[in-house]
Amino acid sequence: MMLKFFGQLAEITGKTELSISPEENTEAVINKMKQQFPKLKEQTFQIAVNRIIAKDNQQLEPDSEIAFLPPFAGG
Amino acid sequence: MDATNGISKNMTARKKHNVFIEGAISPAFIADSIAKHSTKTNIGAHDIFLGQVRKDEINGKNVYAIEYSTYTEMAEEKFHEIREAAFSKFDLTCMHIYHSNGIVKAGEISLFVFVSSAHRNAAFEACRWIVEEIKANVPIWGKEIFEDETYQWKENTNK
Repeated sequence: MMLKFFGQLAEITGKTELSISPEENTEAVINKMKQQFPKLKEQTFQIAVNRIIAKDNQQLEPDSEIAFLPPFAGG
Repeated sequence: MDATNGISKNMTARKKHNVFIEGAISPAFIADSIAKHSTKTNIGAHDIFLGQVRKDEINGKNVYAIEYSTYTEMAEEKFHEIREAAFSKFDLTCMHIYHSNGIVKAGEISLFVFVSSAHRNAAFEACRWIVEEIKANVPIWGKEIFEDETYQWKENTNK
């Protein structure tokens, strides 16, 4: 599955995109990323699944697009 | 998955609008947008919100510019949802939203919301509502770049 990172989170991971082996839910993906990039633990972020903000621990499909979104700053 | 499909179905209902402008939004562009409405004689009220980049002083350093970035596909879907919701919530004749991407210097305009209606109440209320929705729900990020080229990531307040 494809992960996307934006803003300060792309700086922390050093990547804007990352392909990982499929996980069942968003919590598993978050834990995996926190393990790989420990600095993510200090960050505030939301997860979007297929461009919609995930509520709680959302189930994923192998082709889900998962985005790590830091706090918004538009306007 | 179903939710995504639902949105793409909605998106065919009204044509998609380009919101993002590379760099600052020029006063001439804004004036031109106003002028284009002179033929729409059912309009009695316009309301406009302009967001301008502030030269904030943070720890003794001045903000020189904001570099905006976005999750384009999601932001476009969000802007579309906001448009659709605003048209159904308020009695509007037309609506335009433009947001900068890339570098906008302090003193320049990065957000232009322009709503028009027959009477003032709908325009006033819709404009405020749209700006708050954009700030809360559209995935846009801003890097505040200081005069010495260091930077920090901006975060929206409720002010």
